[in-house]
Amino acid sequence: MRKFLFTCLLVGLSIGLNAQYSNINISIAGLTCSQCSKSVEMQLKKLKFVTHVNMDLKATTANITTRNQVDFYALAKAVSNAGFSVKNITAMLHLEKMVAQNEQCYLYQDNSFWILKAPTSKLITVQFIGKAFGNSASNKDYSICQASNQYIVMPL
Amino acid sequence: MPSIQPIYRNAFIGFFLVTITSYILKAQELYPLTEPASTLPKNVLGIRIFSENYRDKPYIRTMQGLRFMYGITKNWTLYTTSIFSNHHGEKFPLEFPFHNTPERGVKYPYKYNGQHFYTKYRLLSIDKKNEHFRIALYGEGTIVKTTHHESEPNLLMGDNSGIGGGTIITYLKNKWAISGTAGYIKSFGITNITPDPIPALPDIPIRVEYGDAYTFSLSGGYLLFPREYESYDQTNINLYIELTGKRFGAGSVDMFKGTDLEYRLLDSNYPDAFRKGFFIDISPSIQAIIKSNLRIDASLTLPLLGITYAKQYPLITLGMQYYFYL
Repeated sequence: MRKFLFTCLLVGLSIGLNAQYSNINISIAGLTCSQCSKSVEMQLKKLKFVTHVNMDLKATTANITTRNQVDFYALAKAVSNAGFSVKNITAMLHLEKMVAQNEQCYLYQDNSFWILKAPTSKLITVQFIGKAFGNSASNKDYSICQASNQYIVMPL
Repeated sequence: MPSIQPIYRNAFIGFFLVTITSYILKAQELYPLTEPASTLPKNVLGIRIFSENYRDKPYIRTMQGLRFMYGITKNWTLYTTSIFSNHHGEKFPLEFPFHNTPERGVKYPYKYNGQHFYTKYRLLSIDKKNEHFRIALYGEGTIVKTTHHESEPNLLMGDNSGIGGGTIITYLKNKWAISGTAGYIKSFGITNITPDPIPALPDIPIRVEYGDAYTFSLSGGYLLFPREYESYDQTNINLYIELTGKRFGAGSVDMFKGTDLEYRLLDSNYPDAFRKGFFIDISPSIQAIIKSNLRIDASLTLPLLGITYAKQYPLITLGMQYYFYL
């Protein structure tokens, strides 16, 4: 039993230590009741890469814990499928665990991140930019930073 | 006809109650009797059981609906409701509609009336901090076999077959929330029988057509408890006031339908219940939401302007609803 628990602890720690994203926070617009918040939580929990959802009913935000393969567009779509809108999505990016294409473009698995201001550290908190994330996308072309899911982010 | 002064006074009181309730107090839009412009979340299956009851001495008229709801997409919701009631006889009464219409104090069998279908499509949704504005379109249809006695059509409660549709607008800002519906019902008639006044003679086939109707509603809600949302386990207690109204046309009756003797009854002799009409009802309600899912409603419906002949006041409507997240 002790060996089993120790193994679980090691696996858990290793997942945490290897995480490319942490502190993923979704701020949701239009929520007016606890049943509404529950609907959003249930839609988020359906996503395979989501391991835990912590809803703050007062602030109408959702703090998400995930596995490594995160689809931020799917997070926004889950909020939309519940009948509400994303106000913003923020996350902490662990850049040292990603592949740097240049000083502003970082890649991990299916995701690419174009960071609008060159980061000054390898651990940054960013806000996602784009219509899906509750704000206007920049008109510039960031196709040099390519992947299946392309994100534009602004360091906070 | 009611006198003019009470009409305007009652209308003002009703409108005032709905708007001031929504404005001053913390808003809620989970109305027991009407639909908001919001749709079900995608892939959610909802079940609702509701029951409308009123005294028709010496009996209680009761109607039950068993509804299944499904969110096809975030914008598109479907309902189907099975309707059961003891509102209607197997055939029309003797000398319909001249004698004893609406027919009171008569025992009718409790039976399955038919099916109501409803679809809602959310056209527009603008969500901001502490504010949202939504517009939806709805369509509905009912297939029933019921000998409804009044010209007023009603699809949801299964009084007659027909189709309908309309618009729902819901607006919430800070503590102010209001929702309104404007719709139309196109009723379908029914061919049935009425006993011949001479008992030895066979029943008379008749064709009854009902009026078409414009429908409207205005609803406001108040979150009584909790003062602050902290947990899904907190029981929510909500209070609502809803105005529901209808303007409808007169019905018509064709006797000896389908025979050489067929003729239309003169509408100048129709009773009030079979003529065109207009009314607005007011319904205060209380609602509990348990563990952010199970909803229990209780509503009392009273006349505000004019009356409906299809029911008697006060109406008591109870409802229970639960979502399954698939």
